[in-house]
Amino acid sequence: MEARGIAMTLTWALPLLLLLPTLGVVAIALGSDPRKTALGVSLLNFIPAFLVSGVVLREGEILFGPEVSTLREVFPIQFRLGCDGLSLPLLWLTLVVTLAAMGVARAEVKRSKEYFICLLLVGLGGLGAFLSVDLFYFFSFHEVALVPSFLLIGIWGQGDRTGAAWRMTIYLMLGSLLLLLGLLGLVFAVPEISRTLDWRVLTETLKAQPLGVKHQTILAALLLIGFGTLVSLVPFHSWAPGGYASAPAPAAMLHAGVLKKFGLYGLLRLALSMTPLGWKEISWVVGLMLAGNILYLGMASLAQRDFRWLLGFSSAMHMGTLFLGLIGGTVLGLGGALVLMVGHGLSAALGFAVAGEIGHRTGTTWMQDLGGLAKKAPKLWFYLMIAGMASIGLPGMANFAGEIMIFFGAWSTHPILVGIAAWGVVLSSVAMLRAIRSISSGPVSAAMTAQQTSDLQGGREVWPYVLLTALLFAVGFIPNLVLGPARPVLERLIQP
Amino acid sequence: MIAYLPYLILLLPLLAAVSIRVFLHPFPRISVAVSTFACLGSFVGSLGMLFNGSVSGEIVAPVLPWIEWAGFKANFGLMGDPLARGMAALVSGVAFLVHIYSIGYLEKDPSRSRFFAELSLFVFSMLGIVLADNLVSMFIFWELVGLSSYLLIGFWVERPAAGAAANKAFLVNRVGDFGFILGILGAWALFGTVGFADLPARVAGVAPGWAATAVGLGLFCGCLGKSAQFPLHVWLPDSMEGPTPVSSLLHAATMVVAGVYMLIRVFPILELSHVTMTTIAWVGGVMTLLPGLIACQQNDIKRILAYSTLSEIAYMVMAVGLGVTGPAMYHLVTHAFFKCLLFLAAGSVIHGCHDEQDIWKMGGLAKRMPFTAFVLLLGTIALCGIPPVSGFWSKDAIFAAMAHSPGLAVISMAAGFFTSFFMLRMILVAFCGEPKSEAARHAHEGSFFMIAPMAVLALLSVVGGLLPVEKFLGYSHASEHASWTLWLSLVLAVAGFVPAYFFYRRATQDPLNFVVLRNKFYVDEFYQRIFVSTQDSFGRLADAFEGWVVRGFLVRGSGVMARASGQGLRLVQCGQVQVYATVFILGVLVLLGWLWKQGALR
Repeated sequence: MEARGIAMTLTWALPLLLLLPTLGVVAIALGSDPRKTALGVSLLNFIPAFLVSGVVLREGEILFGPEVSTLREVFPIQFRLGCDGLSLPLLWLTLVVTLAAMGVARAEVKRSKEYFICLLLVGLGGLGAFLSVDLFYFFSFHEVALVPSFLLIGIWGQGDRTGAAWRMTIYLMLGSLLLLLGLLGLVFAVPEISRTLDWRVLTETLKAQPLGVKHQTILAALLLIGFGTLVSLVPFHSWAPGGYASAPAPAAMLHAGVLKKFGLYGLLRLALSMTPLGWKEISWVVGLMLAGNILYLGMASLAQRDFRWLLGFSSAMHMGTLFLGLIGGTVLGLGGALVLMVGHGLSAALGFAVAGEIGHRTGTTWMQDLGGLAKKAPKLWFYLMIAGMASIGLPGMANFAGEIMIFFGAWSTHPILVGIAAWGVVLSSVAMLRAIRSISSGPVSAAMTAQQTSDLQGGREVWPYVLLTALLFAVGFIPNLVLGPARPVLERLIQP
Repeated sequence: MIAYLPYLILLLPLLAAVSIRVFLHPFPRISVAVSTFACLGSFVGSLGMLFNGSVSGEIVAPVLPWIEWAGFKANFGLMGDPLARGMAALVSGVAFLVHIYSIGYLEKDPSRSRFFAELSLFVFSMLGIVLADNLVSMFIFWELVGLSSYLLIGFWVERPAAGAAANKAFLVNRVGDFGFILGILGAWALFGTVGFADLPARVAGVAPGWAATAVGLGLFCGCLGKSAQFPLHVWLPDSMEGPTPVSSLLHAATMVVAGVYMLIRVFPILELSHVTMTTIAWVGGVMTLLPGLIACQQNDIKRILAYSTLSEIAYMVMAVGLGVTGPAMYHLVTHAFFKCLLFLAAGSVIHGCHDEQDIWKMGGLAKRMPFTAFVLLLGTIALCGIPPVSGFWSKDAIFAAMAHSPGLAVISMAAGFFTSFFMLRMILVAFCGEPKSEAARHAHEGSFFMIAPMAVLALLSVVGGLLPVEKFLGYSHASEHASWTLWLSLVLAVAGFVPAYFFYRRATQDPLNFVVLRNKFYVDEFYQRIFVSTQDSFGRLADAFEGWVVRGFLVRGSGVMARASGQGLRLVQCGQVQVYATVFILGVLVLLGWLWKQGALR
């Protein structure tokens, strides 16, 4: 009883996770120092996260909110939150990337108040989506994050920022529309007596009484296109590279690091367990699409001459390997996908942070204008190497652990796709190493001398990089940090 | 206690690398000391392991969990079988000597902390390959070795050529690893294990077939990359852009033979398929000869040695293909001694001549650097396989196995002829006659730190053949000594000296000029044209399609529509957050209402 009571009290940690950033937004709006407030609430949020983790590790899951009801009884939408072993790694990814993004964001930016409010809202949207049990909130929190992303690119971005912002928003809105249709389809597919917006209950219902194959296929396809657009699956990818290239560094970190994982999380959570037969039916389409991500975007990344664009392409490209984990049909592949989600989130965030720093210090991210970074700014160079090496799957870091699990998981069912993904490792190495070389080696370039380029200064500037790097290694060496809690959930997911 | 020894050996260099990177890099002298002592510690530990207990016994270290799930097991276990113990001692021993040498070689370099950190990272990764007990762990260290090689080749970051060579090395290796990882996946699917200990038993239960052939060839791809065999050999000569101690340790003595070591580890799989074995033997056989021919027309002292490395590794690969792993390993050991020595001597020459690497700008060095000249000569004799020094015994062991493969025997003996030719050419041009440049006139020997390791290696090159290598490999080389191959190979090796002496005794410029050889059979140009350009063209095509068609036409089209309908752009430009938020909330409310209606209707 005692322990149960404590656990009941601790469930308040869940809404607290969302409340703190909201309070931060209000405080900044009322005039407190934007950067310090944003940093403060992002750091404070670790406390409820530790409490939530404690409960999840002990009890398996933690839930907050009213009892489940069906659509018949009351107003259908209920504010219910939950966290289990699958949401937990993503919760932590969001918190860590948000903190790092706030650390990298500069206080002296124009309209700094709105800037930090937007950043906080993007992080909040990610958190809410990963913690929502009610499909309405699950969907809306992600939408909440899209608006500030649009503004961040449109107002504080660089290059063709308005075009990029619109392109991204139109794509993501259209994708969300299809996704909404798919979600509604799921809700209305069950008999009305047990109809609910709670995805936990919905999953149980649909597992007990599976839909027909045709029905499942249509729903799976809608979910695939909807979520796939958010994950930049070819051919719905076109918003991603340019969007990331134009976004200010913290926004790109949050979007590529966290928000993109929403689509994958949704597929894992909903499509795979609620429409397993449909998912199997369309897996050859997914296979084609992911091959497109790996080969087509991999090729295109070879031709990039702006480092930000390169990161955008390579980030979108790696989604192909992730999808391979999802269609492999083995729990090993799913585990690999989860590890790679975390690894990709961390390494993409690190990459965009470094690119932003280079851009800020030299005024350009054109690779041919850079050069000599290794001599001029050895610390920045070090983190450039870490980000690059992580993204091309060097052992020791999280991405490799995820990739190797995906390869082994999918080998028995999709050997050719595994071959393509393995070749993708070569392609991304070519692109990334060329970039690293032209940025870091050779004589110190004009861009670097003219702007008095300096290295990262002291702990105050370095800690976000250290944080991301440390976690990349931690998950790389001990994948069980991620897999341990997620294991039972993933096993249940694909159980018929 | 002894069970933890492999971990100690493995982790000391890692600890050194990390602590230099994190704390010690502002203090070069401390960094150098830490790195060197860590390597010494590993070496002493390896010796302890080598001589501990019965020679044939195994040391099984406790396993560190990594990933173990759903029938897939990839944990870190270290394995102390005789092969691993011998190899660990060799690697850490040679690495220690190169550490000492580097203290002298890089004494004035401001970045030497970074150099020694990277060198320690290499020692760690290489020992990892040696001690790994399964293919996945081995692959992990395999990649890390690739990383350290990349970092060390590109050590002089301000030299564009070094950056290019580092990239080339990493990328060509990645191509090989592409096959390697598929081979590992295939092995797991076919035999149900990736552990070396279970492998022989599991392999015995599988019938030979195309699958086994494919797996074997996939694994061999890994060797092609790391051990620089055709068609992935192109990175090794370029890797000479790195500092010479690196060329000596990584690109001659240890890292490049990792491929051969791996082949020996997975030998039961290779043996399953006749096709695989024949492929390996012939790739090796041809590669003994071709680099030897190219080396005859190279002018850079390090590149000449690099081509000779390609040729010597090919002997080992060929031996594996012929099914005699013992002699392959034996040659690996002796080669490590004399090739490391040759490179250190070359480094001494380069150091003495102020970074001059062209042999045609040296000359007369024997008088000015007598010690270097002497050890270089010893190394050459060992390399050419002249009795009674080490190279003779190990090459003899390989030749003895070729009595029944006359084709391969002829090719590889011809290779021996050319090896003698280009080595004597190098010595005559660089060390004899008059100095051909100012730098050569003022050449001088290096410090004690450079001399001492060369002396030790020179001794090992001479007596290395007598080391009881076979005890650790479970074979004896007392087999067909009197075969025709032995005598013929010896005659050819000596014969190679004759034309070299004739052509280069007093030459001031090269009397021979074979353009094809000078251009290395145009393999680089071929790859550049066919693969690199093609891939880049595809890349530009994909990028153009992306930019013009997808972004430009399709997306901008829809963007224009949105602009026309909503005048949305103004929103961004005046930053009216409120307007956007209002619209969004309205949308949400409509949606809410609809949902509620749906629910209420039913």
